[in-house]
Amino acid sequence: MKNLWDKFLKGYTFLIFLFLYAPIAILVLFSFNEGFMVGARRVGSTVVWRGFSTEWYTKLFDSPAIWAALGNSSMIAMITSIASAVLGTLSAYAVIRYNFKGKNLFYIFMLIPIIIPEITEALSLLLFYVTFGVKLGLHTIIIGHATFCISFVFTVVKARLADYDKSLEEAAQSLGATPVQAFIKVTLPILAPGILAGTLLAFTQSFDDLIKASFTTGAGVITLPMLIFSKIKFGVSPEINAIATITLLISGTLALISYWIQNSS
Amino acid sequence: MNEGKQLSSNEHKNIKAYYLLIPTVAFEFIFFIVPLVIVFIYSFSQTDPFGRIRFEFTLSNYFRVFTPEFTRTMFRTFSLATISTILCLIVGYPLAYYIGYKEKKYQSLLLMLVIIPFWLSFVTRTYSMISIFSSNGILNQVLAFFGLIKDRPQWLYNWYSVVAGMIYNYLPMAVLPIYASVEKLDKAYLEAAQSLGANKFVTFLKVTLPLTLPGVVAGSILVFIPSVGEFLIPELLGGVDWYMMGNYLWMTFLTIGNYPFGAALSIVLIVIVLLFIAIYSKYFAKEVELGF
Repeated sequence: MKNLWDKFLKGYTFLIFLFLYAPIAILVLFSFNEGFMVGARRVGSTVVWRGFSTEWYTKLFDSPAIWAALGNSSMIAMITSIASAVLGTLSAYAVIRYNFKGKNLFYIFMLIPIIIPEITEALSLLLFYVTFGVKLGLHTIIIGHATFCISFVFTVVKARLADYDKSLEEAAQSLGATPVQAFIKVTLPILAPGILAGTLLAFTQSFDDLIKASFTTGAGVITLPMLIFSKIKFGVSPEINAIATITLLISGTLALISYWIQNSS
Repeated sequence: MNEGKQLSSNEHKNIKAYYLLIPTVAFEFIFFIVPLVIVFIYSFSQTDPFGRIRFEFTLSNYFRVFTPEFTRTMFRTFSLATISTILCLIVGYPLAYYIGYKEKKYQSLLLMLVIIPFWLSFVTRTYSMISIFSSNGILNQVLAFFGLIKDRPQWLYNWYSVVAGMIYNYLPMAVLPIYASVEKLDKAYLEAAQSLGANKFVTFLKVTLPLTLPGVVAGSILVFIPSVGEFLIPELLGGVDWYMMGNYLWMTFLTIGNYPFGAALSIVLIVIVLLFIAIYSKYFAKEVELGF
């Protein structure tokens, strides 16, 4: 009886993971699908396999629009994640190291930007920019992404430090280190894996964001998710699968690095 | 005397915490809180015949939100989000339970497999569902291969394709908090219940489920709130007939550009979310632990 139940759960778990990963695997597979000619246009199928080809990737590498979008997304994610790492780490450190009034309120304050529907955040920021006459561009997207990326870094660093021993830093200070020295020499190395994991998560969340970028972008600034979204509106194609595969490759690599950091320390 | 000194040094330390929080609080205040206040103000403003915004108090935007066209959308949004949340919990619970009872060395691997999709692009994941559910898609090919269907039904552009998309994207958000509470569960309770003669099913119903309820509540918050404001899933998998409030917000702001009305619509959405948070507030900060 026990065995049967266990087998059922095992099979169920397998099916759930199949459900989570099969669509992604199929998407990647069909990015290598061979195209065919319809009139003068080369098209391809995302559901019927015709043969292996890398033609869609070759097409991508020749497209200046893709390179521009990739450049914009990388730039935005880089600046966002570094800025969020600094602010998120300072806040997490304050929460772990000190007891202060309003700590619980601050937890809620930091959770809200992650869980509130992103579209409400995005449109409110757009109205903010419009009201104060802020010129829209890369920088306005970066600010928009930082509001939730700080929360991501905060959450990851805080979770990582739940069992942090503050007496270590006090010991360093009683041995003559200044608070800043104690922080850099003692606390920061302990924090480092958490900060790195949080920064990587912030990078992917910014890199993959569609909604906030669409609302707060300036004329002519297009990010990779915006480019994919606008192409989907014209219908599915192996070319979109190929761009999507590139985003999966970038985020997936960062996710694995993050797990490797967290498990090896 | 000594005690007094101790206290003042503690207070000094606490003030240091506030210094560390200043940059974050200031940033979030300016770019997160102030914009929400601005939306509130816009929701009572109006546009003149030239489409310019005039800040003269009016409730007309809210009256329009509560016309049948939009109350239907709100009802649809609420229903889809509720169904998706309940299904995420039902589908996610056995998985969280299984992982929670696994040996430690497998736990971290299984958890990683649950969380990784959350790291991958939301647009890409949602897009990947189209090739599965379309009429000549993979699902129909598999079903036809096993002789289960004769014609090729269109699974997309329906309420169930939207719900499937929601489960696909938000399942990790349900699994993680439930797993956390299963893992914390003291297994001695279960042995006690069983040694007192309860069978597996009764033990689950009377012991395991009540003790893991905080995780279920946290999971429902983490799934319901993003899905009630969802834009992309109904956009790609639902189509116009299954548009949710998020799609109308997108259209009102980015296509039509009617800021006052869009602001009122979004205030209504924010109020729904805040009500939901208020109901669950006592579980909120305590139980909502995210395990990225």
